Amino acid sequence: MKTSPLLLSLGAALLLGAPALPAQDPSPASAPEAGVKVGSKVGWLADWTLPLATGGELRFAELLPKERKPGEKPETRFIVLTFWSCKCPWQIAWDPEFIAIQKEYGPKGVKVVAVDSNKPSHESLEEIQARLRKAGINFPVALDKGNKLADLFQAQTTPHVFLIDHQGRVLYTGAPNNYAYPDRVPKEKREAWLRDALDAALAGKEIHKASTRPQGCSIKRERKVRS
Amino acid sequence: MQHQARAQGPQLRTRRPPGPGRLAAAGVLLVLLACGGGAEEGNPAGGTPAGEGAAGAGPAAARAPLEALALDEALGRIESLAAEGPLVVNLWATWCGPCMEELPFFAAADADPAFEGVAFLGLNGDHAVPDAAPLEERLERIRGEAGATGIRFPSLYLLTEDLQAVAEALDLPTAVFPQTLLYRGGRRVRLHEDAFAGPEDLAAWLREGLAD
Repeated sequence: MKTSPLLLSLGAALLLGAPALPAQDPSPASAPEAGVKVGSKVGWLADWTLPLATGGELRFAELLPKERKPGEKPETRFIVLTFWSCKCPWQIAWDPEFIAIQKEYGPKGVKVVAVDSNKPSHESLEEIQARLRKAGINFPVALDKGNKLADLFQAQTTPHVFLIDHQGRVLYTGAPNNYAYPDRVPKEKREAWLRDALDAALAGKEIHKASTRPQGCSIKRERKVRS
Repeated sequence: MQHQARAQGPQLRTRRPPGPGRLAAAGVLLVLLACGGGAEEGNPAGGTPAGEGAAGAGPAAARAPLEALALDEALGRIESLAAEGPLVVNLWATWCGPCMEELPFFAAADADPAFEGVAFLGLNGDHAVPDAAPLEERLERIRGEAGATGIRFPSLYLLTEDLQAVAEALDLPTAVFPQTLLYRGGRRVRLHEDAFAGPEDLAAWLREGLAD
């Protein structure tokens, strides 16, 4: 199996400890319109590179290559992009679900990618790294300085999930499921929205519930977005 | 709104200040709440999960009025209050740091003569996050933490674990905390889906929403 440089850098950083944040501002080359919904095309993400909380960089171009040789199959079929927090009790409750999805769906070409857009005065790098170690997070967590990516996606909560295919089309947005705390929701009432969307997408079928209400904590932005 | 208010015990009153009788009643209520038996020292054992909890109430902190209600009953209460005059509803929880940071802004607005006649009501979402503490103990902790922020208007502790249901019932696009709703003439006229940056930010938002 081919191992991506992204995962290598993540793994190395986890093993060796996390170096300081890169100094450069990871601004995008393009300026897409703000607001991402089901059906939006976010191929512009390929222009984005964000620093990882564990050191190294998250290069979206590796997940969403702009060019592919004829007949070449994408290494990453679907991206589960979620806005993330190291403190929000809802994110903490849902972290095991994201970990499980990465484990179960990773071999099928799904990559979970988390972005922390909270301002550093609310969530410091040290706090984020401590949470990654404690929770055993198995997916990259990138830092969105100045909440630029969160603003472009108009992400509202942590978590706020966007399922993206290898062509950059958004297939699902919203919450992971309706059972952040599984013990509190009877099995017959559980709705696994993200898993259902992934199963349908992997099978090439229509996603029945492509949009749900994002649920969680607000993103603590550097700049306020007034309603 | 389709939900009807249901009477349940002594209802907490908002501080809509037209009559001296209501002011006196509110004063008595506050004294009763403040004398309820000492102060909280932060979260009790088995409290909210590691998260965004606010500082606990100090030794002399007053408690904020808080009543536990089912979601339907809370909606009925909102409907009743909104029918009486302008109403500000703020969704908050002690697990939500920005909520606790902005509660003092609401305390200031509640006390601001510019907003006389506007009622303030909190909707508390603490029940949605598991807590091993008994309900009454939990309510007391929350009253203390809210009181420490300076708010004296009442809040309703929503007896539901389902924030999606809360958002659906209130017709909110996201189930995020905090959020603030402004009602006029019995209907919602404004929604703010984030924390306010400061008391002036809230005051400006209210002025805009209350202007004709």
